[in-house]
Amino acid sequence: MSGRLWRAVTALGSLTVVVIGWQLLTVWSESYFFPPPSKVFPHLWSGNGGIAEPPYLSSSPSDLFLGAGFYEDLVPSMWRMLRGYAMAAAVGIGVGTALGLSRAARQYTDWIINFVRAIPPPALLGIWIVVFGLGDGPKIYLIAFAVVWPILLNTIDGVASVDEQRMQVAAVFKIPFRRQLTGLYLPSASPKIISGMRISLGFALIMMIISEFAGATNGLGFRLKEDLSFFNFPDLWATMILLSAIGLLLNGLMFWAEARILGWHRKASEVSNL
Amino acid sequence: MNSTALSVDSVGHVYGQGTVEQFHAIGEVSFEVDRGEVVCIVGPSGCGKSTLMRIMAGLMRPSNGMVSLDGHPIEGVPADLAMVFQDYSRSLFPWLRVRPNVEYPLRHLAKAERAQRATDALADVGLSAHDRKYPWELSGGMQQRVALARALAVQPRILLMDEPFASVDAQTRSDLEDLVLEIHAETGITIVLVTHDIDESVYLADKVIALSAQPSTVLETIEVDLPRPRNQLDTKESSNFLHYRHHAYELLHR
Repeated sequence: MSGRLWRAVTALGSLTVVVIGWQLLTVWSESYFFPPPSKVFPHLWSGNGGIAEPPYLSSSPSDLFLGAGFYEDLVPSMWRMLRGYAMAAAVGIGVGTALGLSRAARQYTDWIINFVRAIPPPALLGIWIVVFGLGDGPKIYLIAFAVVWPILLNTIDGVASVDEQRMQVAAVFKIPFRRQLTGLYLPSASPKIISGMRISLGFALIMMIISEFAGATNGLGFRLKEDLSFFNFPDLWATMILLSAIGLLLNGLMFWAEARILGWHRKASEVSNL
Repeated sequence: MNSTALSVDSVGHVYGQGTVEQFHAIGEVSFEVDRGEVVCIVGPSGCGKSTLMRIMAGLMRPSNGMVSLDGHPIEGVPADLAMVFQDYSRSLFPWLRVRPNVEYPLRHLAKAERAQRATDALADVGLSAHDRKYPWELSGGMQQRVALARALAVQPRILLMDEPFASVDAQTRSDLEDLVLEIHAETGITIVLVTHDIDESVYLADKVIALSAQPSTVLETIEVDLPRPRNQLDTKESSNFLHYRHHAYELLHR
């Protein structure tokens, strides 16, 4: 049996054991807070007929197996997260590149960045809503504010540590500044930028949920809060499973993008240290 | 043939002038490079050779003196100048394949012209078959050939080489020396090459500039009158070669 297949089999095996254990334990305990998976999983399709928790999935092929909850909660959540993340990436890479290029600018801003970065973003949630109001905008800004730091700091570091000799190459061959930026600084910094973006992506999912805990009328975070207040624990756990699946999916996408963009870097690092 | 291409006039350089860490790299260096000549600058390690090279390339300004190319003082990197750096792994771009690496300085040209120049330059260095590989997939000698192709593709009138063969093995080194001689014979390009290897300098050069330890000065300018084309066996076994080698060695090890 090939190693890959064997890994898949063992993973599936241990997953089965965990789910069976979960089922047995929850049935045995009869805890109201921990419904058995046999009740949680169907919830992804059927819901319980309530208004606040439309199911994420559907059993109808004509709906592409997607339920109302997909459109009403999952899509708005992901859309907020994506916009916040994109904003963080744009600001982080843009400002980071500018700071990375200028030692003086780094010296002036270094302490400010560290000071602002030290604020735990969830602490800002309340004041954020008071100042910026409800709606999507403030949530997106909060996500962007929270996740911009790893991208910003890694971009600064990556751009500032471009090899001296490669900069001389660009100078000797009289490469215009704009092309140095796209052809030298950004590619050279890309391994660090992307590792910052990977850290930020996981963080964006967390902030998406937190931002929807207050002042939201839909979204996965809103669902979790509602489920808790209505004691709808099967739906709460169904949402939890969905979140875990989203996390896995995002991680996979990131892995795929990284392999595509940084293929040269991984392979080059294997033969030499760059 | 005898018009001056590059003129180094009383160049001196002090790093961190006026500070405690002040370092006097170059005392006073003057020499001239004629058009179409191969000039080798040879000297002990840390004698300011690389500093001198950067000054000639217009990458930095000397504390004293002046360098001019074709009669024009160098302020910033002059047009028609290309350079091959010592450390190929840090001078090539690992995110680009060989061909785009060579084409990188040619962006101002039309696409077809760019492609043609890269094709020619890669053929000149014998790498036509490897243009789709990444630099790090090649051996050190081949990577340095890519760097040489990149420099040749801009069709410079003067080529500066900063210890270009210091990081490759001896076999590859003599191959690359012969490649430089071949390219010089074909194109008649002016070459200034910095090395710490006396044999290499005599083998390649029309003129060897022997530098002292820092703060460096010119010990002597040795006119090397060896017939071209040269080759690793006949040239290096000739009594004239041994005479020049002997003389340069005595100068540098006094």
